[in-house]
Amino acid sequence: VSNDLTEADVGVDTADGDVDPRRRHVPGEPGIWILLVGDLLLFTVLFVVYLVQRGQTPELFGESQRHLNQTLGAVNTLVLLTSSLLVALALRALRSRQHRHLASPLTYAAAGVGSMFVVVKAIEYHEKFAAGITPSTDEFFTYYFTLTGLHLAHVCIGLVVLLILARVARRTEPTSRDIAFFEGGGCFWHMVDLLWIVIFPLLFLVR
Amino acid sequence: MNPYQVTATAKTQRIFVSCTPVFFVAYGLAFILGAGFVPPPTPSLSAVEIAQIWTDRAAGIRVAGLVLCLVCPFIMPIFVVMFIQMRRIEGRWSPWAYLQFSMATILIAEFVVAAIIIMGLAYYPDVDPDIVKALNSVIWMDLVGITGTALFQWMAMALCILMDKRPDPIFPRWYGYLCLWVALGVCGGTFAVLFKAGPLSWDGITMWMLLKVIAGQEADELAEVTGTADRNGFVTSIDLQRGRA
Repeated sequence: VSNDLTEADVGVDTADGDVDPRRRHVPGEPGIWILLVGDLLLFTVLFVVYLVQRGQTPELFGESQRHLNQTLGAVNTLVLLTSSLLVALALRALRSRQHRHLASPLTYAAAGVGSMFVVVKAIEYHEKFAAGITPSTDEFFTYYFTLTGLHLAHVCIGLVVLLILARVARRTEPTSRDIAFFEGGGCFWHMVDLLWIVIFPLLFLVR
Repeated sequence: MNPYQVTATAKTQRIFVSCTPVFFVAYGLAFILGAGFVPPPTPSLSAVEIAQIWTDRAAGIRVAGLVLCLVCPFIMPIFVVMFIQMRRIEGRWSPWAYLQFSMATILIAEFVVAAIIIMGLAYYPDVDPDIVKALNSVIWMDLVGITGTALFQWMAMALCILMDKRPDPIFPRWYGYLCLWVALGVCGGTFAVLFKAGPLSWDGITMWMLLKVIAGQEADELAEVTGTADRNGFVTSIDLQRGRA
């Protein structure tokens, strides 16, 4: 299907610079939604199981939750939201002939900001290990390390994807397929962001 | 290569693909009906309780172990076909195809190791319960917890399929993304070693189990894909074999 995309399909400016933003189109290649929806489904199962377990021993979960550093969690939320915004701006730039030269730097900036997430997470984990907290400390921390660990793996993959996208965005005359690829990679990064927006309140804030 | 050989390789590949359902049906029957391993013995059970399960079901598990060992190789032929089709994408030097194939040979070893321990345990189920408990956990860690090889195998398939630049790709692109998802999904099993209960432990309705089933259905999907590839022309793959591609 992706081979049949026209420039208008992926939202590239027409010659007169006129693009209808309401034009319906599925972002990225349709196939990538199998990956995105499938991944969201897996995490949803984990979220539900976590909440069920929490419901069974609320005291233990509540007590252990106090050891989490909410400030670092909030900083990481800001980091991912900023990075997501930069990717969205980069896509806009890539679509417009006038600002296309900004697309690649914006994507590199998104990767740079996004990599801060890993740094902050490393500090957070270090804090836990220094306090003698490991995945086997109790049930809450098993879930904490599993959920954040799986998410961190997604962040790392996402950062590699962003670096690939930044290279794609350097092309002066990107094809419709390039833009669809960029959209797909961007959607993956937004999904990583979305997952964190659920994980953060679920682990750090829910009382 | 003459036209007769072209027909022969296409036919062989179709036969290879049809081995996959044999694997899944036989393995499933032996595992579920023969050994009663769905759901598996809960990890939180005591050594005596686990040993009791093995003693009670010893006869069924022995037959199951025999079948498991026998049908293991049936998972291999489809990965050979995958290898050939991936080489059509990659050309003469085909790093992804080789990576996929070498990981597949380890995958089958993982199934074999589980079958060996299952047979061994069912052979003398009345040994010290602590030994039964330890070996029982080795079986499940082997089947569920070894994820790196599966990750590499599915990643290799995914990246190779998505790199196919021809206008009419050999595999549909969505299949590449599906492989990516399976690659990420099987990683869930990695955490089995940390849990004695819950979704990531080896029992219960676990996501890894779901994934293995999905991965199985996916293999059937591959059968369809290869069917198309056959008709569209094995000529490309013949070129490959001559080393011209």
